[in-house]
Amino acid sequence: MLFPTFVFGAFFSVVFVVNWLTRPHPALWKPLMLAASIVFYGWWSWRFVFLLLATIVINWVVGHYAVMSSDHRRRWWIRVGVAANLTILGVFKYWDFFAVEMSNLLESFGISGALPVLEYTLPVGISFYTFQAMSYIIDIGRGHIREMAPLDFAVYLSFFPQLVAGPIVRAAEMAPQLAARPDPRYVPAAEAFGLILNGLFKKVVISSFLASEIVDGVFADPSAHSGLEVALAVYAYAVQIYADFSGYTDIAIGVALLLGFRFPQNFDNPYRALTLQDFWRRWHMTLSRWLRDYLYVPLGGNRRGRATTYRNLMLVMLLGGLWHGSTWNFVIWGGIHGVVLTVERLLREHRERTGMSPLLPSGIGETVRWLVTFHVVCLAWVFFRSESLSAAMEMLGALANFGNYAGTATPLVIAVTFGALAFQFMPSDWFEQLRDGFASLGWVSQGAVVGLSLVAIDVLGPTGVAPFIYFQF
Amino acid sequence: MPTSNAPADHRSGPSGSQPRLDATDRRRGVAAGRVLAAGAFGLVLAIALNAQQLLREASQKPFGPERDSSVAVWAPVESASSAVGLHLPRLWADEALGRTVTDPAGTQSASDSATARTPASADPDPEATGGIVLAETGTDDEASASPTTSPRAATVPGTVPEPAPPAAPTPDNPLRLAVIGDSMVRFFGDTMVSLANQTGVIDAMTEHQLSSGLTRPDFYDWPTRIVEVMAADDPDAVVLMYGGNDAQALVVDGQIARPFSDGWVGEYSARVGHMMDLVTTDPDRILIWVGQPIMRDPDFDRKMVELNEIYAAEAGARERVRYVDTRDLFRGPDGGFSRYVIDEAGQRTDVRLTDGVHLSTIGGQRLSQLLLDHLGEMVGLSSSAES
Repeated sequence: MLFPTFVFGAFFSVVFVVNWLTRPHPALWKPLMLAASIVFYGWWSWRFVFLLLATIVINWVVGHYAVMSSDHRRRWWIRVGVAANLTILGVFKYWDFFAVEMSNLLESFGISGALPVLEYTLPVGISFYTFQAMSYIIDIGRGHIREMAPLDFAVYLSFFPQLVAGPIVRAAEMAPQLAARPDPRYVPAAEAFGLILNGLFKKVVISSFLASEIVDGVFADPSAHSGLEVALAVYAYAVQIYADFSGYTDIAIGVALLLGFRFPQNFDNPYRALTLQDFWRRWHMTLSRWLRDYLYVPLGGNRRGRATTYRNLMLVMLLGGLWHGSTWNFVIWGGIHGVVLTVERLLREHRERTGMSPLLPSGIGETVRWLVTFHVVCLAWVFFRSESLSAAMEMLGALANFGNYAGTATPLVIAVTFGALAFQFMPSDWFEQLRDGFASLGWVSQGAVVGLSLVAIDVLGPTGVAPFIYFQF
Repeated sequence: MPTSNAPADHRSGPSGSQPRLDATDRRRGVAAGRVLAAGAFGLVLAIALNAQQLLREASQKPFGPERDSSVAVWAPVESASSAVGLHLPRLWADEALGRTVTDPAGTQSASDSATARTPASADPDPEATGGIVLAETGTDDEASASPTTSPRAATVPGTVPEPAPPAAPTPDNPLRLAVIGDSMVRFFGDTMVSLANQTGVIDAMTEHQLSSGLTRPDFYDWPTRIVEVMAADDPDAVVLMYGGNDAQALVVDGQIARPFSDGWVGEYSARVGHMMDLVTTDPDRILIWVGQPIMRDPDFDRKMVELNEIYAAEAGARERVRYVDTRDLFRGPDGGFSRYVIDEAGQRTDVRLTDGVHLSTIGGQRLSQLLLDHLGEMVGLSSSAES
């Protein structure tokens, strides 16, 4: 079920009413919310509902036995749980990549006998809910959280607003909210409606427009476009993926707010970052937190010397790339981020050791740092978006194309791309002002704003409802 | 890597490792009943203003109970909305944006490919299905019934010999090529245009419309559009590919014909033949009709085999039309469907998307090269020019 559809609007209207009617009665509310989430997920494919339920059962059982065990046995149970989750991910997401690459490697040495490929359809949202499940059992093993009741855990892992594309909500963030009894007299509606409408606009209008008007065409055949068009398409893709993913996050957070839950944020104007480290504090924040707490820190973080720190940074970013998908392009995407993060750290440490003052005045220096950071991010996006390594290289090579102007760099495309980038530098209180203005309206006026906004978004959006990019991860 | 949660996009609420509704939310909050009233009023207003569009989208769904119930719901809403003029703001907005507005009952189709609306329920685009097997959404319930044998399928293709090839194109007098069709063309059209243009003797263009086909002209009227393209671009050669969305019911003499029933096969064959005739009205123009590749879903694949037989039969009955079978091109190592084929270097290569229907970039290159080989034969291109 896609958020920007009438079907979801009807579905959520029912869920909203049932939620607030039954929330004072957890024994009734929990199974109903679980059922709603299963309907939401099963709308795509009922077959994978069983995989989701199996993930719930496996992780709850592992967490339960971990809690009941001694320290030594607990560590063993945690390893079993992590291995089980990685196995599920591996079978559905990574096996074919491994089998094909290994078979081709053996073939190049003259060794025949291809490994079998499974060709399973990738279950929507599998990377998100398996990461949430792992955070639960690891946090239980560390003693950071208490065991959740089976039904609570099932509601948490399947909770439909964040089920298919995040944000990655941890059990420690959801468990207290599941136990709480939010007061139906205080629903933060202005913020929720604002987030939902903002998310719909970003997804349906901005992301879809840029995809159809320039990104898809140029990435499909960069050689048929001029270098300037190719560069504009890369910038446009940077805006598209931000609008798409953060748009989904906004809607998810808004929908959860209407049900009485607050999710962690996932984005903070990432394209205003002056360093790549800063970028990762602003982009997909719940994934970077997860990688930090469950991978970077356990690997030793920055506590075991510089060489180990750099190795850890590279490993985390390479695995972060692989989390998105099983292709070399995602590995390269992560590798670019890892290398530049390492270089940034080297330079910073060198500057701190030597007491070197900045080479450029602060204003110019910040502009240069922003330009470098943004273009590193865009370079990595080329690999992220391209279907293959050769396609990415063709795209980069086409930056040098002279002539071949195909007419995709229209004034509207340029305005939307650079306008959206400029918007990242807007004062951060614009949303609060709009929200407070909306909150001061009567319910009829609020409804009129919502209705007119929905129609405006539908009118301005191009044909159909494209899926969210992050569904494939 | 982050070390703390920074203030995030568009919020001033609590941040940190354990977000939850707090006192700030309580101050800003309103009663759930009021939220429901505002939300419900907003939805009702949006429906009233958008009723024509909702009815149009409902009527464009595949024929069947879902379409019937959707139309039954939206038709009275649309009538009421139109009666009091609530449909006008949307109409004005569409006109201001230069969009062709079609009959909400769906009996006429948009002629502008850039503005026709897409029914998500029938969209075979893998993205529009969220990455789920496209065959599940590319066919309707009725189509799941076993297709009957097509009377046309018994026709032996290739009964009409192809005429002598026209003069070979040159850089000064390039062959004008148009690659047209549904979402399959989206995944190889640009690649084929690029490969064709690299020959130096072909000037190619491509056009596609997602979710379209020949069964539902009320959604997208390809016969009308193809006449427009032929008149505007006057190509020397045309490549057409349809079928992925066509295993659904269609209307014959006002009656709905179930997919692959005798009436359906007769009507669909006539539409295929009509498209071929529209293209080859110009005696100097040739047409390549691309067959559907092997599909992952066995039921969907059987339907595509049935359609391929119709295409082959219609092409075989006409001059200057060649049907190109693509099933062998995409067979896996075991002869059935696979995302991977073994290339000339013995390496496994990913030629299909994860939906089990559409082509990857490499798959698109393989298909494009096959089609250019056929085109080369038909117009007398040398192999060096083709590659």
